[in-house]
Amino acid sequence: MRFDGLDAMKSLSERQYVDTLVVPLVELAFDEDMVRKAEGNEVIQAVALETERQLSGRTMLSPTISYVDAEAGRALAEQVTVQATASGFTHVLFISSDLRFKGSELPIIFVPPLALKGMSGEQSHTMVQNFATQVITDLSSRWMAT
Amino acid sequence: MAQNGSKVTRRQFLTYTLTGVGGFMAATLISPMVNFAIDPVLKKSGAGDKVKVISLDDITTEPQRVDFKKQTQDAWYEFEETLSAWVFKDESGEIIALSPICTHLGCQVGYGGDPTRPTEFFCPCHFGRYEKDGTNIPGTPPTAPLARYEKEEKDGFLYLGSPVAQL
Ligand code: FES
Repeated sequence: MRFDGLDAMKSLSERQYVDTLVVPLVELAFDEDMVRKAEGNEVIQAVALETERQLSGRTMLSPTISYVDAEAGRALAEQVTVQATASGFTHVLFISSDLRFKGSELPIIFVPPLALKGMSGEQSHTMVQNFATQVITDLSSRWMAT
Repeated sequence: MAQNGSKVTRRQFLTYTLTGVGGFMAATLISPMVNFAIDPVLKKSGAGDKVKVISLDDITTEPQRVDFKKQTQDAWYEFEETLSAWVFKDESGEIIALSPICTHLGCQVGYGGDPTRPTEFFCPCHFGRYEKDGTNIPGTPPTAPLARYEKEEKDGFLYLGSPVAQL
């Protein structure tokens, strides 16, 4: 499900089935770091979309949380988790390429920054599939456990 | 890529049923083996608006997932939609191309996705199950069989069109 009106309505009416929120977590920069952050964004968005494509019946893809300050980003991610959980999402999962969150409590799948657009269609497809598979495997095993 | 546009059309696809995948437990193993047809030139060389996806020689009785892109249009955009199909030959040698979109709420099913049931399609979302031929298994959430793609065999290749719901 996407974060649009129709899907939001559907996810509310199918509450017992749509219980997982996937959130892209993207760091912004506009100096020399911009390229790397933008590459992170490329992979995060592609993986998030592919995950949603494959698991649309149970997951809602949240709009991206973006931040310029890591602490603020973490705080926002925590707020989103609290809100989503209070509203009936049993599982929340972030997709990020910011390794500073490695030690945090947040449930995150990390993907590397890559210039997907510079690759051949087949190469980038394979990359994105592999990362999406990690996300899907993670979610599947959580679902199996509940 | 007009990803905004794909929202709308993906929705239509859920209705008419389409697309595919289903990586689950063995997903890490599956994805590198996925066939992928992308060359835009190939699209035109086929049958109508069907897309060339795989050589007939590569189709066996074991369902395999193929991903392909198709030029699609909605009210605003023209864009490439990624689709998947599970392709195999049945006992009579007929080629079957199933849409992996679960008829429950639209997740993508995988063949053998539940390791304890290696010859069924399994939906990781709410554990929906289908026979190898796409028939939904009663007692699991899906209430209809998997859709089948329109297909055409031409010059040694399989071309796929739109998925057709099975009633
Ligand atoms: S979407 Fe497949 S079982 Fe619910």
